[in-house]
Amino acid sequence: MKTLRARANTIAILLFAAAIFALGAVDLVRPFGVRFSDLTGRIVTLDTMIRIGILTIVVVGLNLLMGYAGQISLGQAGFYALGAYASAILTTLASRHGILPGMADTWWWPWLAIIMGMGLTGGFAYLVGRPILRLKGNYLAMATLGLGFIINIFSGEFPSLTGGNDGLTEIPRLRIGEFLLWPMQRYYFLVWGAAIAVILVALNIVNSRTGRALRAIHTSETAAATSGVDTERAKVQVLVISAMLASLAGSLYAHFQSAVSPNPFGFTMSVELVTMAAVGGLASVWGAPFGVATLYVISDVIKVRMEKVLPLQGGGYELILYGILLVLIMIFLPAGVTASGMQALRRLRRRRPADPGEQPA
Amino acid sequence: MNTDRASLEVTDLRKDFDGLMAVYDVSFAVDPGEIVSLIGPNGAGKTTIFNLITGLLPATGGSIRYGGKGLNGLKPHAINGLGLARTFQNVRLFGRMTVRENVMIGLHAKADYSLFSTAFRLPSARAQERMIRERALQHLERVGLADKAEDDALSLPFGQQRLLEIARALATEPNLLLLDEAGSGLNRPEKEELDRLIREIRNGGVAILLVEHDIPFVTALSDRIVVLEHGMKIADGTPAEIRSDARVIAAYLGEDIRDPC
Repeated sequence: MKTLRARANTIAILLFAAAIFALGAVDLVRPFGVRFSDLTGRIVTLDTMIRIGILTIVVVGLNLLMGYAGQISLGQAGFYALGAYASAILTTLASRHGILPGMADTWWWPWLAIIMGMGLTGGFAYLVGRPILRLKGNYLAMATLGLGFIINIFSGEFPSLTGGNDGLTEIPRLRIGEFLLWPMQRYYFLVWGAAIAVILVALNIVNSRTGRALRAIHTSETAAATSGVDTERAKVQVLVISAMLASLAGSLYAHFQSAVSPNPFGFTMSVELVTMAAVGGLASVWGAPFGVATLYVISDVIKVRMEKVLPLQGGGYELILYGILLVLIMIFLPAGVTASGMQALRRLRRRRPADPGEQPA
Repeated sequence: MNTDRASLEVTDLRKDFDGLMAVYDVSFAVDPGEIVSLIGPNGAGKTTIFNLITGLLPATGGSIRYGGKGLNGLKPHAINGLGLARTFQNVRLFGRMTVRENVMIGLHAKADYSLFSTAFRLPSARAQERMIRERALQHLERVGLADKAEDDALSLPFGQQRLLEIARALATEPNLLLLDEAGSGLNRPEKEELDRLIREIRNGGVAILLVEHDIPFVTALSDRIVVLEHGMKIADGTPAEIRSDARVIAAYLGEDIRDPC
């Protein structure tokens, strides 16, 4: 049973990775002059794919926190911002002000900055997690909401450090030795390599002692505690993991955009992240990439098509749609799109052996 | 009798819910290998006492000691770690988990592999995980649920859910097991099975503290009975002593506790 599930996960990971890398290779090889975006009717571009990969990393973490442990976070964009700013500050200001000469200009410094960002964000999550995770339900939602706001507001202050509302620019591209991970066609592989590694790690956590404890906490914290689970520790642990993943994604975003500002990390982003997690399916690691992709594709389609059908001042159609989508999913597919799809698939597969026509001779 | 095992000593325990005295200066003890029952009318404070002992509620006053160690102020998982396990009046199983996984939660503290080794599936994590899975099955065998190991826990009939909860508690390897109305909602044969199981657990050296409404069931099983009324202890003794106690008879108000209903 268990080994079967583990093997299914391994196969799924391999297939998924193969598909992702094949898609990425299209733009590197350009067979018959075909570009990646041609395959999708110009709706999904390589740029979009990279953004999907980056947010997948955040949503996997959010899914561990919300879907498995049942602890809501409406401030996940805050941790995402911390990672982005950590990378931005450490890679631009250090060399600009001549701090750490000889170190800040090496190829490995930005990588070290990513790790330091994850460490800082994780440490921050640990400190706020202890008091915040004592709260439950709506109170926890409010507290995390506030946390997200505070980080967002702070990132707009202290111009000498964060660049204020204009943010920071000229964040260097990542490279390994002399090999530059840019243009986008190369960066794609870094982002999706990281995303797939994160999915793999999350699957391992879910199918382990820690993952089991989180699911138990979701149903009954008291029963878990009296069965020997240190529930407080487990909740803080998963918050720290989700914060570190968000931070990693933030760093990848900073090096992708080459600029950061407070704007993309506001409340809207936190809501989008929660919507993506719900669409993909809470308590489903695999749901993350599909949840993110679904929302991206829908909003891109809407941005492009709706403006022609129904011109609305300033747009904002996506937000309306996110709302509608979230309500519909909660009503009709509470397990999420991916999870519901998988269930349907499993039901089909189970029915099949009973059908004599399908049996091999 | 194992002399190295600990006794539970509850002394002048008090719980005040905003002026309402749910438990008022209650003292009693459970010695190693003993079966002790807490009985009393609804609202007598039985479940509150369980919640105080297992750390789910802070006591207002008094002390709870187990093996000489004070339990006041300890967190539930730490109290569990000292050898106290419990079940709940309204069974609290973990949904969306199999029968075996529920028991594996009871074994959570028996493994110590780190989150890091989990994340990267290091050999130490895998070996311990295998150990936990096998031990969970042994505990399921004790309560007769081994053949349901891979079923969804909440798909079990109610009686078996109670047994599963006991298996989960046993998995934490307690020296004292607190059963909160383990017999309620069970039919006659299920109750007989429970009686047999409780005796078997006790014969394995585990002391048992039982909250129960079914008086014949309690008197047949218990070494001692503690009777509560309005949060106060009104009697404490062997089943024979309790049966003839005038205050107990009065508390049950005409309900003849000598006669099996």
